[in-house]
Amino acid sequence: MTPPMTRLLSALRVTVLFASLLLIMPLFSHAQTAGTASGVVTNEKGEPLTDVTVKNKETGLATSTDAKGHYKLAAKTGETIVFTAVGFEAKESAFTGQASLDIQMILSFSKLEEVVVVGYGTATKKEVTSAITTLKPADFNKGNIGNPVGLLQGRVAGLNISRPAGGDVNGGFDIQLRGLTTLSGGQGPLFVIDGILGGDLNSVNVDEIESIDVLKDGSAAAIYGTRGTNGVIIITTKRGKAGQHGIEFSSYVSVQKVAKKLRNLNAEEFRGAIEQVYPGRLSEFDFKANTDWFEEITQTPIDHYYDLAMTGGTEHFNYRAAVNYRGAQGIVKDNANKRLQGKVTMTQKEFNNKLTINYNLMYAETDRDFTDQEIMQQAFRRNPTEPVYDPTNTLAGGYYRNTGPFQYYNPVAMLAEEVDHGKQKTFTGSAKLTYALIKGWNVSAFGSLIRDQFKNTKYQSRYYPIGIGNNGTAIINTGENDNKLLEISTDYRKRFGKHDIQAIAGYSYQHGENETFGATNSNYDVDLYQFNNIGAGGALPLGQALMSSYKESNTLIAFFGRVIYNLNDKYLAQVSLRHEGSSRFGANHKWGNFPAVSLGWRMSNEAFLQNVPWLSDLKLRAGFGVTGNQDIGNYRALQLLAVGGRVLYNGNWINTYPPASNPNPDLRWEKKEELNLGTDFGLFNGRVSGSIDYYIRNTKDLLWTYAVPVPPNLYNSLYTNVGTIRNSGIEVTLSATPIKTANLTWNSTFLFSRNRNKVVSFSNNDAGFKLTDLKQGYIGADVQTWTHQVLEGQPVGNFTTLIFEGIDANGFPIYTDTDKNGVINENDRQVAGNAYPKFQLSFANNIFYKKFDLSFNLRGSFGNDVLNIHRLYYENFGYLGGKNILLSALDYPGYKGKAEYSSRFIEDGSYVKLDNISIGYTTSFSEGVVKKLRVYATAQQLFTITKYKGVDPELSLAGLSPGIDAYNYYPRTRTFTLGLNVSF
Amino acid sequence: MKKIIIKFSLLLAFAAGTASCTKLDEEVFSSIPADGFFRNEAEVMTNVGRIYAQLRKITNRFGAGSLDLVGTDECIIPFRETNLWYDNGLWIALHKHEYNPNLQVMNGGYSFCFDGISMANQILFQLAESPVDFPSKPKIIAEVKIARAFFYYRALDWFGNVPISTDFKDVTIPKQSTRTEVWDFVVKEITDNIQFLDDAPTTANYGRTCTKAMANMMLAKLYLNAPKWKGTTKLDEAIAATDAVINTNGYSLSSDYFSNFTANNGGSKENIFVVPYDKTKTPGNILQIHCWTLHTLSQQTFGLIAFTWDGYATLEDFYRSYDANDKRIKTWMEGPQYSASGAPLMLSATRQLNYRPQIKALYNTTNPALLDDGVRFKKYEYEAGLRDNESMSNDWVVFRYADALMMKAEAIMRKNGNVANQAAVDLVNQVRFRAFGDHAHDFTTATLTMDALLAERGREFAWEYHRRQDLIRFNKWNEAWFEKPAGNVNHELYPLPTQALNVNPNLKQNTGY
Repeated sequence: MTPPMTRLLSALRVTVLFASLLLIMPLFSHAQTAGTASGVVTNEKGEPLTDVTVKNKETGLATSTDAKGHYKLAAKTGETIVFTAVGFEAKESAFTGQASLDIQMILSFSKLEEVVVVGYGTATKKEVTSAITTLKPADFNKGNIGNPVGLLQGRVAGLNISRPAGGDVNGGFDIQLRGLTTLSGGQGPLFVIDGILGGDLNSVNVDEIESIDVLKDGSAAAIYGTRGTNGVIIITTKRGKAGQHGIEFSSYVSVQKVAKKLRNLNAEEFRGAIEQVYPGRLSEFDFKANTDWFEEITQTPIDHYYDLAMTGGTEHFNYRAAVNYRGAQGIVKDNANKRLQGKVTMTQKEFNNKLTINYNLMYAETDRDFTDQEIMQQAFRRNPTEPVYDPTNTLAGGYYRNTGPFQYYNPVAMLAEEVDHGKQKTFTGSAKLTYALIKGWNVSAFGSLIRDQFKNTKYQSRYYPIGIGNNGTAIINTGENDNKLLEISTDYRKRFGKHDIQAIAGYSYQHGENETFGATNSNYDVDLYQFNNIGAGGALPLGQALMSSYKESNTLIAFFGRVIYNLNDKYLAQVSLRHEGSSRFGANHKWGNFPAVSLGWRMSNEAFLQNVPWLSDLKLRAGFGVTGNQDIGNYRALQLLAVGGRVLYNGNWINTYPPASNPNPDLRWEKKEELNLGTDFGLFNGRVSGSIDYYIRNTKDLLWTYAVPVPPNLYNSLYTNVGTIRNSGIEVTLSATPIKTANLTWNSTFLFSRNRNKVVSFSNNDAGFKLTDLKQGYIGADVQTWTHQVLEGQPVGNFTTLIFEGIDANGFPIYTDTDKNGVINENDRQVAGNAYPKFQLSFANNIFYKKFDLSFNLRGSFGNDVLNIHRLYYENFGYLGGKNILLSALDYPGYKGKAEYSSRFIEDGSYVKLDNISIGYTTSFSEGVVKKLRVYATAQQLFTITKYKGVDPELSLAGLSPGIDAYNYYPRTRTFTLGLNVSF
Repeated sequence: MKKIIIKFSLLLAFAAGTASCTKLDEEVFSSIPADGFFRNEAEVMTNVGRIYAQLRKITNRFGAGSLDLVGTDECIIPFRETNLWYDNGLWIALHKHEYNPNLQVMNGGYSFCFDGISMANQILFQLAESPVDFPSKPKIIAEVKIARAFFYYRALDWFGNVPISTDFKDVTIPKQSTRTEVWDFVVKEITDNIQFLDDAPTTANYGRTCTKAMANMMLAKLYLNAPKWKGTTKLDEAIAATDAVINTNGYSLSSDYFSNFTANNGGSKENIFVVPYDKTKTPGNILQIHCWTLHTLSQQTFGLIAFTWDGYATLEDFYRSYDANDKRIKTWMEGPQYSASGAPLMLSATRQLNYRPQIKALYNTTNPALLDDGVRFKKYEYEAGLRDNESMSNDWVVFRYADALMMKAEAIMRKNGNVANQAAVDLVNQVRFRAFGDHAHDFTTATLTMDALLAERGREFAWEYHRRQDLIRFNKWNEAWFEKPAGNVNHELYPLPTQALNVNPNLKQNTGY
């Protein structure tokens, strides 16, 4: 048996043991007799309230009110029933056996009782002692959003989300929490989806999300150990609720319009510029057509979305099932994403409600048509006087072909003669068994499996303009990613007197396996097969086809525990520890400890503040936590041999195996220590509330690849822990309800965040890991230089470049001769800006007037600099003729410089965006099948206010060379959506 | 009570179960962990073979492949119209001999040598430790040592004062040696091990460092350059080494100069040492001369599929040094260009691709070199159908018989007070006759001056990575030529790369850097 099998089996053994014990448990339980409480819950105006949670405080059984406000719940005389609903004050009422227990709920501004998911458990907002942001559907971004991350953009202070690929429907989001904490490790947060660590985001339907909790600071995230450094985003999806049943249908259709594109020369301007720059040479460059290349490769994309959700059940068994389809198109032709998602969740209670079983099944199937972003670049620089087609050129398939200029391909042919398709199928299944041993003491077992399969297929026909003569190239890449998680835990809660203790302890085992297979072949007799008969290509028998496969695995094992202590709702403390090991680390450092402690003081509950009428809540918090980052890839600690290519030996070609890495048994996690100081406050009964957090996060033992001498080493670099990076910052969240009348409510949230970053060190001369700087960023074709310099004591993100002073009389750029030696070279470079914003703001508003609602969200970033790569390349006349250039080049008619990196192209990238604005109308029906109906219209990215001259100043801030606008870019779009939600 | 017992046993089971579940060994599926390999002869061979995979980096243009080519008077990479080939000033710096330790090619060349040396040390260690025994083992060991000597020979030529390490088990940071010490070491390594090598070329030793002729060629270079590298003269030794090659059965001049450079040049009797490439067998570290030099339109001349980069050309003066009747002038493509079927290749509606010898400038942004400035290299055959990222199948020629003749002639002339005698003239004329196909262009003792010999070497060995060494040996390296000012003697050595200095505190930078 292979070692992983043995491990899994032993894990299984535990589960079986556990499960069989659970089966015996009920024998020792006491039976109880049951009555039923029922009634109607209304608001202050007497209107029925739906979705109010009705819970038996003694038994823990819960249900919720239906569309008519009605509920029914098992209860015995003398038990207490608790009624809770978002936006209302909680109510408790004793069940005395009355026929009807009707309740009137009172509106509340306070969020203190809101449930916050803290990871391996929940707490109420008032109890939280670390920096956690909780978002409910009402707080999410609205509109045509296919990815849960899109819901959060601009909604969490300190969480920086950007979409570097713009309107590419297959593009993802870049997420950075509280600054860059690593030099070479992964930079994305850990997603926990319905309890699954590293759950699959693509499977989550945004309409099915109940809440998103963002664990920001170290004391909150430390319970997730080696994966906590970049923050933890916990997504909880909707489940069935006892007492509710119904069907919800949602749909929208949306259309995109180009918001901004690069302005190059049109055919007339091009001819004019040629006459100006190369007098008398127009015939060389004028091909007599007038082509708008942008127009040729773009479309007006239309997206559709349909979602159907069904729910029903009792307190003993309930379910929720949802299925949705989303078809999205990109602005570039042949860019599409079609996704089908389905999910079923069930909750079952057995053995006198002592055993709770939760099942979750999710399935997602995505079809993608990938866009090649180089197409947009080719269209930009294509000579606008060239025609698209040339029927006489049979070699090129009737497309106009010009191989004169360097790397110059007809974008229409690139688009039409390539199929680049991806299929992904993801299954997620999980089950959780929770058994209440005694009141307040539960044991649980949680198991999950994610199986993610993809198949990417590509075919470039014989007329594909790059590599004409290959006679068709087919590429197939497939892969499967399996992730198994087993967690066993026990939790305990006890209140006695003024004391409230919650504790949890558990064990976690997670194993991931990843396999890929790829094949490439070319030289086909016909283009008919595409990639469906890959063996037919003539390159295979000639030894020119490619085949590859790969497999890797990794394991994470952890023991974790946490205690939360609450003294009289005044003094709060939380201590947690995760003892975790990862297979990725070196033999000497497999295991690490990730402790956290946080304290809270609810000053507003002290006697001396009881008489301050405007202060409804005030809490001071302090937390410290240690987290790690194990997102470094597998096998980095081992010495591996790679296949080094064949050599001719004794007349035969034989394989060779050169070293691929040096061993590093001391390789360990990057260790982040974070101190977070914060306050939560509520004023005027919570009508104004907010939080302020200050943090310092030091990440030590940063991993980087250091050059080592060869010999004695076998391989010329070593991946090892050396440096330290520091981030500190402040985050402010302010929520207010400026207006609240019977007909009009205005809720508003304002966020402010600022982060400062400093690379403390990356060199250790004593240990031989000596670096004077890290030159990062790369400008490719024709320029070939670095853009960013990382220095010890300086922040990440500095653009280090020649300082542009102007243009001299001869038309050449003048640069500052920093070292005054008369020569302009790299030594004259200075810091000319930084890609990170000085601060970020956002301002979200929800306004309700009678049945209408209006929401909008403004998001701004200030002080961030951007390298405008297109101006760098195309705001000169160097390329003119063979290629097109920017219209703005004509503003400097005498300029004679070439494409060069200098401060001239570092621009202020500050921006304010109206991320979305949405107007809706909601109405309820007391008669008929339709219970509730909502129609809405949303506009996304309606405007951007910026001085930036390029397409979009909002760029990826990931990595060590942030803020470079993409050479191969995707146009930015505005999205307009019309939608409908119906509840039956 | 029962309840509590069960709860307790549950916790015990939980703990016991988990204790066996804490193993974190990494399982490797698609690479080979370094221990537990090389246990039989075949595996030993794959181990030795990686030295030759490393040698393929000899043509890498960001390392070894530029150090002996760009910056000589036979190769130029100008900044061309439409902003091509600036590459952060790398090619301009090399051309003007404005070297600095941060230039990427310096580290590339240094790594080429020392990655190879470290690899050889490890292989030798493993061969010594390995219980596997087979008859050819002593030869294999000698072969690895000769390969290591070759890497040192390049390091000695480029960087001069480099550390010598031979013991794999020695994990201390190596000490720097002087250029003289390195010269002594390399010569000793070769002379100590040459006895174990094969006498004659065979299919089995093709492309390997295990022929005596290959070792003698290296020795001849070491002796001929000894005045520069060691500060002594070793002309008799140089003559002896070249004689050893000339007297080896199996080597001769090919009647067709260009047959040594075809896509299937494996059969050449003239090539003594080659680095084999193959378009399907050697992905990674590939040979792409067509890409370096040709404009993309020339695809249609040769039937290439690969996109080519329009970069490398030769200097006008170098091209003009060829006699029109010299067959070797076909090393270069000059004039208006046509497709294989005879259609003119058009750069634009009215402009035909025309490789012209004159080059407007090395670097001028307002009046840059044109796309078709400079004649292009086609000494090596460009095989039709070569695709992007595919290697040429031509084997790269490192040493060939013609060089043995020319080196012997040179040694004789130097011994003779830098004046040719008949013996020298006869040797050179063997090569000269092949180039012209007649004796009308033969040298005489009067016409074969040292300068004439250098120029003849230039034409015969164009782009064969000998030119830098030759120019230095003939004291011409620091003279001015097109777009290159006169330089200083320190530039006869390259600077040690910053990366090497950073990781080895024992290293001291070469003089003048």
